[in-house]
Amino acid sequence: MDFKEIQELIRMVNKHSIAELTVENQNFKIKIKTALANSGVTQVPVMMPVQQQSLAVPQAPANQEKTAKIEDAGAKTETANADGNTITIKSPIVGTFYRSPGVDKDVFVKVGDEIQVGSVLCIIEAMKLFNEIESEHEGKIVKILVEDASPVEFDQPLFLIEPK
Amino acid sequence: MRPIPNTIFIGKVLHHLDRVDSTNAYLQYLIAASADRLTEGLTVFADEQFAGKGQMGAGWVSEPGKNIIASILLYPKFLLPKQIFYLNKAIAVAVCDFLKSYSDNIKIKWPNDIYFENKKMAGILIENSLSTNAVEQSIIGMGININQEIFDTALLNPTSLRAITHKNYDLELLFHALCAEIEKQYLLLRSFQFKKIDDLYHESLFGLNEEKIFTQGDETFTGIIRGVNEYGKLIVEKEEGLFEFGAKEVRIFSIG
Repeated sequence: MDFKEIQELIRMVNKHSIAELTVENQNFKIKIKTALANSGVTQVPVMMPVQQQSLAVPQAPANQEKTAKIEDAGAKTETANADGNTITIKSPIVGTFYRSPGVDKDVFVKVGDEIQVGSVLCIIEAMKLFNEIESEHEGKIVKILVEDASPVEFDQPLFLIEPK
Repeated sequence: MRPIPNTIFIGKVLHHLDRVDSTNAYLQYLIAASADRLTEGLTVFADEQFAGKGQMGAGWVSEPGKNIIASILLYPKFLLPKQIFYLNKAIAVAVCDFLKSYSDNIKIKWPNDIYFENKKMAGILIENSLSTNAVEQSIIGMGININQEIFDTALLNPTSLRAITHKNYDLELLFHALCAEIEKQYLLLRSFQFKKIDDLYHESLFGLNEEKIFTQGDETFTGIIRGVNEYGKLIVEKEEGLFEFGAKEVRIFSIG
């Protein structure tokens, strides 16, 4: 473990309100203690379980309006690229399609976003397994083909991407 | 807590936290913050988790330092995305078999909870990253009630090893045993022993070949549980024939 990794750990510990962290393997041991270790335990409200994101995840109306507009633009782009300049990203599994990681979270991607190889595009939940779908292409999202929280089939097209 | 001594790769690097929002979330941040790929089998153990994913709302009382709350990082790239439910089956079998060493009547309640009789003892929450052709990464999150004695029974029907056996357990030793069991099942999966995993899963499946009452939306019906298919759907025999249901379509209403 180098200095940078230790710095990273310290950042993590602060971010997650951890009072004490021990990391150990055969060759080293590091223990990080923060001021929290001496303070009283603070009660933090328990978050809603992730499963319940199926109960629909409404987004701020303003946000939705904006997305809708951009998607219109996306539709035009799609027509412009009807000659095969877009790549279709398909669902690798059967499940339920989610555009964001949780009820109060931002969407992973929207139309117009530049994406990299490995960018998370969506979650497909299947039998209580939460599966993030990663992009294998670099490019721009031109269309999102599935509504949030709707069921998807194997090989169903999810996104159109204009490759870089 | 020491790194797990009795495994090949699970828990060799161990992050032991006193308290954390969620061990799965912590592991995800750790992955995002690391420039290099983290070692497979990296394990996070927390004495207390205050915002665990998949916990059943605010009613779940978890006493600090009494239970196993952990997440394990795996790279099951050998699995096709459509085979992902076998990972769930393998982990459910591992947690179930681990608990069977200490108590009878431990079952897997479809799709991935572990029950003692009609009481929930453990929950599993798996988060994967998929590409088109492979399962790139998997975070296996588990909460297993061990020494807990105080429960909020109003909302759930929880129990712990201690509650049913009236013994106190060495959490560290049990966690070592659990990691060894998970590694064993994962290696079975890695050698593509799908049939074996399926058999083990069904051996421990709650309600197999029993008539149960199910709820589907506002309706209820009876049927006999005949198994769980390769994609995780519950197979139920009704008078009209065999039907398959997803985890969101039906619930097994009658328990015990």
